[in-house]
Amino acid sequence: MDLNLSEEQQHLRDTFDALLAKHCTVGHVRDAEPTGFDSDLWDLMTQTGLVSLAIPESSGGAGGGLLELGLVAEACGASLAPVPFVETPVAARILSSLGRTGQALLDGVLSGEPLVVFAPRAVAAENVAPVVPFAAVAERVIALHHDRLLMVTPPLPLPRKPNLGSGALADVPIGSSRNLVLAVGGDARRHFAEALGEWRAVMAAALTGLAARALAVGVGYVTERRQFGRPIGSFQVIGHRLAEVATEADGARLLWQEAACAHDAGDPKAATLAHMAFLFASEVAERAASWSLHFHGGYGFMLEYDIQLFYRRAKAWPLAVGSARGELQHLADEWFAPDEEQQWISD
Amino acid sequence: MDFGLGDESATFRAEVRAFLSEHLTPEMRERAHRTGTHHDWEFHRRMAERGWLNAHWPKDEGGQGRGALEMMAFHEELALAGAPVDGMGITMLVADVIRSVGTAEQKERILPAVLAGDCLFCLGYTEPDAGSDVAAVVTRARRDGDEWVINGQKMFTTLAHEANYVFLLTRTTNEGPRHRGLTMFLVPMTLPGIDIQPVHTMGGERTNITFYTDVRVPDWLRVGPVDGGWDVMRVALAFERGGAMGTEIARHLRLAVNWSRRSFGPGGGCPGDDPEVRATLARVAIRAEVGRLLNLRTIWDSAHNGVPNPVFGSMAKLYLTEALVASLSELLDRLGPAGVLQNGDPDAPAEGWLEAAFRHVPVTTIYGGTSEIQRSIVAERGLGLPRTR
Repeated sequence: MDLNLSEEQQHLRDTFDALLAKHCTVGHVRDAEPTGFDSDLWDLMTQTGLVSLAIPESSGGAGGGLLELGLVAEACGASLAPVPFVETPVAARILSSLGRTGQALLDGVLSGEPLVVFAPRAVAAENVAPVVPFAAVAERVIALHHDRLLMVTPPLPLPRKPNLGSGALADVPIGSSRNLVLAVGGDARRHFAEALGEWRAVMAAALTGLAARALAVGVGYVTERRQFGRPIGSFQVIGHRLAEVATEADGARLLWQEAACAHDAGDPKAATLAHMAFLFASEVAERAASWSLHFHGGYGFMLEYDIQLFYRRAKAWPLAVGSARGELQHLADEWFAPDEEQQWISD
Repeated sequence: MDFGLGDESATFRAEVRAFLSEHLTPEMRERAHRTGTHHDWEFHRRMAERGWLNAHWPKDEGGQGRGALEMMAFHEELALAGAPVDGMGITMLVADVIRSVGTAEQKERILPAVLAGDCLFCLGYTEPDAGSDVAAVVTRARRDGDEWVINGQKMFTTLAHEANYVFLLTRTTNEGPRHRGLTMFLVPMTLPGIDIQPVHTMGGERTNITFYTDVRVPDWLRVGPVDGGWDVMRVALAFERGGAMGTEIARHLRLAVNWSRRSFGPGGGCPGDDPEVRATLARVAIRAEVGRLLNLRTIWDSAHNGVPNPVFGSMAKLYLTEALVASLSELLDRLGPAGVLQNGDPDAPAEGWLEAAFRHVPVTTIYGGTSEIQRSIVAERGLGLPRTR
């Protein structure tokens, strides 16, 4: 057992932390709100190796895994980075898993052109993939349409739909796009399920980062804000709520890291852990942002204060995959398959 | 990073499991449940024979030199099996303190019986007016030659009716800061002047109030320096953190999952088909995993860095116990009207163990430092917020 990061992982984390601190300030995030996308930041992040980070060296990547990707995603989540830091690396991993079919496409993606994103929700409706994150700026969308995994090239530009998290959301018209079939049948579903599991684990990391930063914003505020002649952070109701959030945020971090490690080690529990991590981090992110906002009093409601940026995204990001209720049912499907002896504590 | 407990833990875990299936009888569990005394001398001595009471001690001190992760696996298995090990937990906590700060005489005269499984300790900290504010204790120890004369009263002296010694926190002076006037003793329960009154609890556990009237204790049974009891307490608290609590949720979840798969009704189908039941089980499974990880982190970090991180310990205790309470409430809801039936009734779902657990779990958020104390530690020492009291 070892809960410390390796030197390389720490270095990776520091590199992206520094990049984000400089190029993804709250000012940048606010500037990107009208489009949901910061192309300068995206260029920097791809140049720094985000997309190739978790691609095998044999496919031209850096050979990292979900843990490395998660570390960067946690930093991006904390900064509310308006770039597809989950959707594109996951899409690239699909391509790299497709063998020769994917490699030609992957080479372009790794160099930043075209911008490809993964749509985390299987398309049930006829010919439209609804509200796909970053579809308003992507040049390609990888989506599961019935039993075919498609690389969709939509007619550009797709109109961005105004939304809670100020994301670059758009409906993708599969019927009127050029579609390349990446896989069909069981193969398609398997690739999609694998990618969705990865999306959940990495999104859990992002939401953990969001939660931790929202908490820090709240702690900062209640330490400075004085009422009744003392900092409001000295009131137990406030301190104790934030202590609960801090506890849960630590739990969310441990859980996504466990899920990512399990995935990277090929552990059969990985998909279930990713599910758990995603559901838990979603709840924690919302709670962290919500309590921090509340402790700002009326100021928390003002656009001028930053906490509302967190509050909106904490709810919006996880919804990309659908309802928590549906996710819980999926988790139940995985977690207690009828004949399986549940031995979580069986190391 | 690596979240596995390692091969040694797996080997030890298998050994413990085999031992439990051989030596932990349904009668032992039933007796603990019925009497509310979660200690069984026969089981305790079997553990002692295996050398497991002090398995975590170095080999040259008579232990097995087992690491923190092996011990975690050990405690997890005991808890998952529902073994009556409250007595062992408390006894080894005090034994760890004696080993760490006790005198040579104490180690020589007391520890052999402890390790043989023949000597049990109970804790005497809490008083009627000193709960979370433990430095407020007023039980008085007055020096008289080579002896100390003790007068006072302790609340919740669990297992006092079985124990050989009470690990007693007393006040030795009213001078100076409150926490600098405390002294700890090992008080033999057979001494004249000790009275034990049983206290019965909602959870079914039996505890006690103990009264001390002119109890004369020889000075060699004092643990740590005179007026240095606070520091001894802190040593004990460090040992107390990160116990077997990490698996409590998992144990109840396992009961609920088994219940959910039991078929029922003429139309077939089982509770596990109901989306509400499934959602609850999934939610509880997440909490069980988060709690396990927070606990694991505390134990790993403490072993890795050599000193326990109080914030990690508080987070684990807070999360595990609060999640336990929330989970039992939701699980009982899912059992429906029959969920109120108790162990012994043939119609009780999960043999009534979840009903029993529902009555038990509130105390977990109280003993060993209340949730409020833990939240204050996290807020002040973890988040750097101003003192809240």
